[in-house]
Amino acid sequence: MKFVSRKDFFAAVLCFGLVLLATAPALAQTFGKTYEEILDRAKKEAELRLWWEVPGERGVGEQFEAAFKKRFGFTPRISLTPVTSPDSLTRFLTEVRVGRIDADLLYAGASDVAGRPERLALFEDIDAPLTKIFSPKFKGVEGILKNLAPWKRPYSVDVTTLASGIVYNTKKTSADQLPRTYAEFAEGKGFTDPKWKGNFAINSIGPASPLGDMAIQNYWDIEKQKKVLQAILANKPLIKRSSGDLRMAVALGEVAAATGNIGGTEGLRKEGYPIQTKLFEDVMTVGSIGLTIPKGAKSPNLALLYLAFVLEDGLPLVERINGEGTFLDPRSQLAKALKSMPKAKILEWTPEEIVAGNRDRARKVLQALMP
Amino acid sequence: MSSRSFAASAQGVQRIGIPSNAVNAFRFEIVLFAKILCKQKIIYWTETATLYAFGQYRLGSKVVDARLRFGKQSRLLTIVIAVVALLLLGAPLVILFLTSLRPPSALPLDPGMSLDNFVAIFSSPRMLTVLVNTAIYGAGALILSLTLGAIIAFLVERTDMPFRSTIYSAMLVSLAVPTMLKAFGWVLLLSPGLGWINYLLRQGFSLEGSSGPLNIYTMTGMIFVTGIGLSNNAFLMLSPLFRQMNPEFEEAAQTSGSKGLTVLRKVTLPLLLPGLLSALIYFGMVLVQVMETALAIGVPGGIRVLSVHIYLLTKAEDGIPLYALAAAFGVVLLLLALSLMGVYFWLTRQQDRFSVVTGKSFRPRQLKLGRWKYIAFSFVMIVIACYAMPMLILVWASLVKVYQAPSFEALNQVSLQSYFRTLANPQVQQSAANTLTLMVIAPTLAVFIAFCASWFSVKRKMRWVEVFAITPMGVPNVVLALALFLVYVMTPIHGSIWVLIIAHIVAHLPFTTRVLSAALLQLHKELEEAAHVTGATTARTLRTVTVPLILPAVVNGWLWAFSATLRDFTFAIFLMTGRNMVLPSAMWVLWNVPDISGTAALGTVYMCGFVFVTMAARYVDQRQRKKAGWEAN
Repeated sequence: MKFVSRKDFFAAVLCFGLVLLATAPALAQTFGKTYEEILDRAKKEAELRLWWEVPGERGVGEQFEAAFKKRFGFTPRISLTPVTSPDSLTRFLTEVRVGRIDADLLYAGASDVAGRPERLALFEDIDAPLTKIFSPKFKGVEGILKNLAPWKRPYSVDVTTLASGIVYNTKKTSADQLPRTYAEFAEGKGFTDPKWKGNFAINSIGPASPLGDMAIQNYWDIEKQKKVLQAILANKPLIKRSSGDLRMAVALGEVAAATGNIGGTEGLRKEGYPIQTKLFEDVMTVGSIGLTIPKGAKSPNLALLYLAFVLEDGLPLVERINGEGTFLDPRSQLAKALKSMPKAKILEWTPEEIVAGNRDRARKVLQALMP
Repeated sequence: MSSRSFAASAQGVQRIGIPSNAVNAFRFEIVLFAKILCKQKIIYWTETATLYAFGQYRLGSKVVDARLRFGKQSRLLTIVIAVVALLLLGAPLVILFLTSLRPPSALPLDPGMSLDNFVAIFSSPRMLTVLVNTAIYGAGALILSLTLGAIIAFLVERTDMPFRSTIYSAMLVSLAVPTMLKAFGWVLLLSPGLGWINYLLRQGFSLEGSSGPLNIYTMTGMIFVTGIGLSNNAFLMLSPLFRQMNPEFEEAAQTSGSKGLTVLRKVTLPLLLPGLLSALIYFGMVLVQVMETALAIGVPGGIRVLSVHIYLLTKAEDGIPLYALAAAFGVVLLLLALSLMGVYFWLTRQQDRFSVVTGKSFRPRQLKLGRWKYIAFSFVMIVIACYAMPMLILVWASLVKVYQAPSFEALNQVSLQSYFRTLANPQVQQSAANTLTLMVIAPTLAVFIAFCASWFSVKRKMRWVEVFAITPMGVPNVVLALALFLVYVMTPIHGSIWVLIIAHIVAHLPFTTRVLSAALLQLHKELEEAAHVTGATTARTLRTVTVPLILPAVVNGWLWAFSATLRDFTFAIFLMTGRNMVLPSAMWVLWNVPDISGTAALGTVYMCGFVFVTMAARYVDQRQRKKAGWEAN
């Protein structure tokens, strides 16, 4: 019995061949197999679409460019889209839905990328090429990957740690006027003291506010957080909507001090503004922002090369952009500050807590108290 | 169908006077066919649709020729309007509506339908506070801005107050300052801990303490800054109304013995009613949405209004932004806006009552103020000083490397270093080029589309066109930005300067449409009819009669759209990519670095560029007015 005619058989083979040919690029490996192959492909890709928080301190972009050229021998064209971290992720997720991804390298909260199982299919596995190809060649990359939390691998590598503490104006107050620990802060030695009335600022409850993050690992129960926030609000703080606004208020002398994310003060200090930061000695709430390569990136090899470059040579520059580096990098000021505070407990939302909704619940309860 | 009704239908069609050439015979057949096939109410609608397809429409029991005298282009024009309306407004609004039905924390394109957002809006305990705050803030700022705008417009257009032309230019120049920078300027002036005015008051009156006595972070501060900030917009909207008002009516009242206030109450104000209502409704809706001042001043002071509430919902306070909830707020605001427009249309339904520019020539009459003109001038100068102060403090901030309050001691730190540094930044240069493209194309297209919409609405009684053009007024910019993002993300327009152009056209269409329709409303139909009688086509009538007569409104509309485009931060930031950065987004980026002197320097250059364009436009406007014999000076 003849199931298929010879003509149909050849037609089917031809169709299969055509389909294979058409899908060949998709089946091909995203990243080159060797360092040389990645470098070669990266040169051909030529343009990197980079989503980053801000373009950074003036002149840093040129320094990035020069350092990259020195390391790899060519200068890629960088199309920088300045974004804020949570917005960038939302925008990226929407672009993924419609199949038009505008980013090759994405700056996004680690816990919003690596911590969400349903999102993992959207990102490239960068751990394998970084570990196998770049780590043997670059000691900086190797060191950072070694310190990276397992749950963040293999999709996101930290480049910034947003640590919370106090930012103050050195002309209006001094470090010894500020609480040393969170315990002191809660007991009324901080901004609940009447001497600070109307002369301090806090962040609206959000990612950059330490007040919303003290529920991490149940460090403070929610009732205690509510009590502290109510006492702070009774002391008439200025409420700023971002850590940038908050820094500005302190730098200009609008208020003497503020509770919030301590990043970004370095640039202001260099400009001559009387601003300084202080970390709490007992506990530090942090959030990590990492670099991620989305699936469907037009220039994945260039993105990978750039990521390796940032980890190897660029982290001091990133620290200058964001005011603080990642504490995974021993060269960063934050890592050095941590060394001098051996008792400090570091609190960071884990994916499990986020997925369970603990973060959102804590922030919502506190937001309800805000005016 | 009986042969009798068939005959009656045929007679009905014949009554509308279709000539018996071949083409019209075909049309006749189609209409007849529709009449034969359809019954009862269906007949009515099918017939109406068929008639409209052939350029005719019903007016009461009559069927009249609605074909514009563009000839064959009329249907093409209708199709173009429909397509433009769909692309600019329809698609974003549909997306907005669909997004509002998603679960609150879902992404806009996620599956699932829910009314949870609407339930959340009306059941939230915070909503009452937010609504009360919004009402107080909106009413206060509305009264302040419209009162100031109307007084200054009256003084400039209808009186002999000195330096009117200079004052007009100053009012336009004040539009140049982006609202965010203006708010920042006021903070530098009136912040309790930092404000320069507070510092001077403390020094001058030997007050104790290091803060106060004035506090910008209050409801009064918000109303003051917003009211002052919008009064120049109100002036721009109201001045054409005063300018185009035929004084014959007032003169007639005075001749018959009425006194000044009676004339104002019984003649002037009723004549201005549609324009004033238009401005009132427009600013009412703007104030519900206005965000920058409320964000910069209200939030630090713990005062939250509706627009800021929506904005904060989209700002990842709980991780993923609540776009769906924000979109639901957008839908509610949209319905509110449509209701307000319905009220407006009802109040102005007999529009011929308000036509004050007729076929007879007229010359606006100047009111002699006598000694009062110096008091009036001083009053206007105080308002202009309020516009200038935030700008001046901004200029000062651009000249010192590290900000400090202006003083003689600080003068030795003044330099132009920030300007050289900022202007040499390649990203700023690229942003300037993008801004130029945006500034030329967006206001021009917005005014063109607004003119079409107003004309169809006012002169052809197609009010739905105007309703459609004004609809985006009810959509907060941040929600509109989201909707446009979702619509265009699937196209190559996404990430290009064109997405910003489209956003600005949509956002500025309501104001420009209101300005132009208010001006067209004052233009009596006899002017166009006279042109038609002499054989002019509609296009020629528009070019030679309508547009020249409403040119001041066209220029004002363009200038307003231009300045609003310049000042916008929301679209610039929300839709920003590496390719479409414009100067506001560059300023925002510099602000976030943070580079205060760089931001101030760029802001100052930005203002200077605007001043140049404003002066040029003003020069053109004055020439036109001279030509028309309307020069008031």
